[in-house]
Formats: sequence, structure tokens, C-alpha cells
Amino acid sequence: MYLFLLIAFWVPQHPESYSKNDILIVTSLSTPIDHITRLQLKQLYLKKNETFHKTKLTPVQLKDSHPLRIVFDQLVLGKHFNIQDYWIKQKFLANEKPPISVMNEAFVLIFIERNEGFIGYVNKGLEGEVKRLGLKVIEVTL
Amino acid sequence: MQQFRRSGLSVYHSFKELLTRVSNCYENDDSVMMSLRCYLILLLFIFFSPLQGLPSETEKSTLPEGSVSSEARFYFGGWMDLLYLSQEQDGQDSYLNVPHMYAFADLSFDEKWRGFIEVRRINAPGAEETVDFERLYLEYRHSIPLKIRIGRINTPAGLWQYMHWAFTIDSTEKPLIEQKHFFPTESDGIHILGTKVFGSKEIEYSFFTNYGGKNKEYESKNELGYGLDWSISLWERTKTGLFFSQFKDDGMGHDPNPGDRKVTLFYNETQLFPEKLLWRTEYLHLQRTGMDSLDGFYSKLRFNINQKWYLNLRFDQTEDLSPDQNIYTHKAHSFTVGFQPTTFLRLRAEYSKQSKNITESYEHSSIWVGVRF
Repeated sequence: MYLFLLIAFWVPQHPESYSKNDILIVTSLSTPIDHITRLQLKQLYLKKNETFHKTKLTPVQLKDSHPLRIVFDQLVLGKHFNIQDYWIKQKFLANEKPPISVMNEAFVLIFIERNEGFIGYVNKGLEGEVKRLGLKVIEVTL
Repeated sequence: MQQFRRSGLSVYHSFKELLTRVSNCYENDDSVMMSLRCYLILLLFIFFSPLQGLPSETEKSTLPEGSVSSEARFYFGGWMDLLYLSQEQDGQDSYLNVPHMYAFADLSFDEKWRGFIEVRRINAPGAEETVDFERLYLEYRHSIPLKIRIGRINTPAGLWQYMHWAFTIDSTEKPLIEQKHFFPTESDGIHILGTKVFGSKEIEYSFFTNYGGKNKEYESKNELGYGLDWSISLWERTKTGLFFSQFKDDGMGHDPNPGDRKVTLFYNETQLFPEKLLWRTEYLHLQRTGMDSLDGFYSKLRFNINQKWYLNLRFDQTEDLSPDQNIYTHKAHSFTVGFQPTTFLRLRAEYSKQSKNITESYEHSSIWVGVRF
């Protein structure tokens, strides 16, 4: 509970203040994955693929106005990738739905903690919370 | 389970009532205002239908409550547009109207099953006004690589037809190979589709077989058809594919050039500069029973100035049959400036010059506004 209160009132930084080293990719300890590439993350968050090393992963993302989401999208999808346009087209095609979007990083961690196979991203400052909740950080090749 | 069964019944009654209302509207009055009224009734009906009262089969008890902004089990949407078209052609007046109104509802029963319904009203320049279902199907989603749809689907062919809605495409004029309606744009039958990833390669496939197809212009009813669309995307930059289909015509439609058809479509889309400059080409080859084969293609460049503005340049060339059954060549050049200020609003200004080797060339210019809701 205190984790939620701590982060709910935490004022997010501007996107410019983040770098690729400030993002942690997090999943539960039971998820048998320790490494993921940028391309695999892209395929996962665009719902092109959901199974890696025979493990089904469910992505969780921050809401689209969150500064960390903006940085993550730029790093993983590409600087000029129009993600809103992409999901509008997917809706028209009645294809896959966007990943679950949550308000803040506290919810990202709670989702991952309670659901096996969920994967998400938080800022590096929350590494202690990640460990305290019994989650693990996945190594990413960008 | 009982609640779910009751909901299934209510879905069935909803569809039934919807069908009745749409067909009554269309049969009773064909004026534009009546169609608008029918459309509004339809929207209100979908909005307040019992579909919204379905039990939450997909909700997971383990998920925290609140704060989730996607994964809706019922999604309702639609769009409409306004077009001003100035035509420099004999006997053609300028056009100002609402050419398209679409409404769709997407209902997920659980993680595997979903229903999709899309109703459209089309009042395009030079065509009769129609109100009907564009898509109406039930989908079983085994996984991303395997989905099965049963019902009315859009014929999955190439790039443009796949994303043909005026709101989602880059230009106002359709490519000529699409305008000529060389194959049915909708198919009633079974559709199997999916995407499979192998490292940096993405393979997409679509297979359909249909009993009854619909062509917007000629309303062809085909006895039997099948098709396969297969594409590969490489290095996050380029997508290449091939579509092949065969349609048997029962001769019941109003197509001036009836007959069985074999359609082959080759396509490529390459990001010359990632997400900045796109080059796309689609080439179509059509064979019809007892007639010469026809070829057509278009090639276009789209330059994204930023996330809101873009420029689109396209060249089209295709063969077709004249009323006296001679083959002629039709060419078109078009230039479009597009503006997308929000995800709900899109604007386009377009200039197009067309020429046929049997008539004089003519020009079109248009302003288009699309609104999504």
C-alpha cells in the first residue's frame, strides 16, 4: 500500500531527463526469461508475437502521456513510429488490442507481481521496490 | 454459465433486430436524409443495446481494480467524412456530401471468441447510395499465428484493400486497380489468418474460401471463390507479398465484364527512411474466362514531414475494357497533402490528373475531412 502512495504522488520527470539506462524491464521470478532484445520487445508491445522461448508473455505499459512511456516507445519502437496511428488501424482491422495501459509504475509492478508471465517497464529508481516485491529485472539488448 | 448463455441469446436478438431495422430503413426510403436517420437509429441501437450488459468473462480476478485503460471487452466505434470534389470532366458536377458513414462494434466474449459487426452507408460520387454490412463475423482466436473468422469479411488482398477505409488511407482517390473492382471486395465464408515471427522476420498469411462475394460497384454474386495472401516483413523495413485468388461468377450480378476470374497481386512496401519516407507498389494481373488478361499497378511515395503532416505522391496505370470491349490504358497522377491534428480528425487536400488513351485527360481536386468517434 505504501508503495502505491509513494508512487501515486511521485511527480514524473520530463521525457528528456530519461535515458535508455534509466529503464528497467521487469517480470516475475517464475517467468523463465532473463534476456530480451529490443526487437522482441517491439514485437511484444505491438502484439505481433506473444511467445518467447515457449513462454507466453503479456505486456503492461504506462498510459500514453506518461514521460517514461514516451521514452520507452521512442527507444523500442523508433523515434518516428506513430503508435497511435498503428493502434487505430488495428482497431479498424479488428485485430489485436493494445497492451494493458496503467496509470503509473506502481500499477505496473502490482500487475506483474500478481500475474505470471506479465512483463513491464519502470524507471531505474524503483529497483529496490522491484527486489522487495520478489520480481526480477530482465537484461535488454537495445 | 447461465448468465453467459442468456447474454448469448441477447446478442442473437440484437443482431436480428439490427438486421430488421437496417433493411426496413433502406427499403422504405432512399433519400439522403432518411439514410442519415437510419444511421442514427443504428448508432443509438448499438449504443444502448443489451450487448453492453454482458458479463465480464474476460476480467481476471488477479488484476488490480481500476486504472486499466484498454482491453475493453466491448468496443464501439465509427467514422464519417465530408468530401468536396471538383471535377473537370464532361457531364460531371462538383460534389459536396458525406460519402461514408461507418459504425462498428467489437465484442469479446472471452479470450478466444469475439464477434464483429460493421455497418456502412456509402454515397460516393457517381455511385448509388447503399446501406449494408461491410463485415459481420465470429472470430476464434487460438493465438496470434492462428485466428479463424466465419461470416462476411473484407477480401484480404495486398496492402491497399487490406486498409481501404477512407479514414485510414493516405489519399482520397482510390488506386485505379481498386476503382476498377477487378475482384470482390467482400467475401462471405471462412477466413484463416495469422502472424508468425521468426527472429527479425514476420510472416503474415490469410487464406479464405467463400460462397458468395460482394463487389461494391457491380454487386457480383460469385458462386465460389478462394484466395491466399502471404507476406514477409524483413529488418523492420520492408514487406513483400503475393495474393492469389480465383472467383467463379454465377452471372447474376450487373458486372459488364462477367466471367470467372483469377487475380494475382504482387506488392512491396519499403521504408526508405524509417517512418519518414515510404515507397509502396502493388501490381495486379487479372485473367478472365474468354477475355484478354489485364494488368495494372500503382506506385507511391509517402513522406512524413512530422507526426501530423505528410505528403503523398502516386502514379497509377491500368488496363481496362471499354464499352465496345476494347482494351484501353488508364493513367493517373495524384498529389496529396495530409494533416492529422488529433487521432480523431484527419484532413486531406488532393490534386489528381487522369488520362485514358480513348478520351481527353481530365483533372480532379478535392478537400476531404474525416472524423472518428
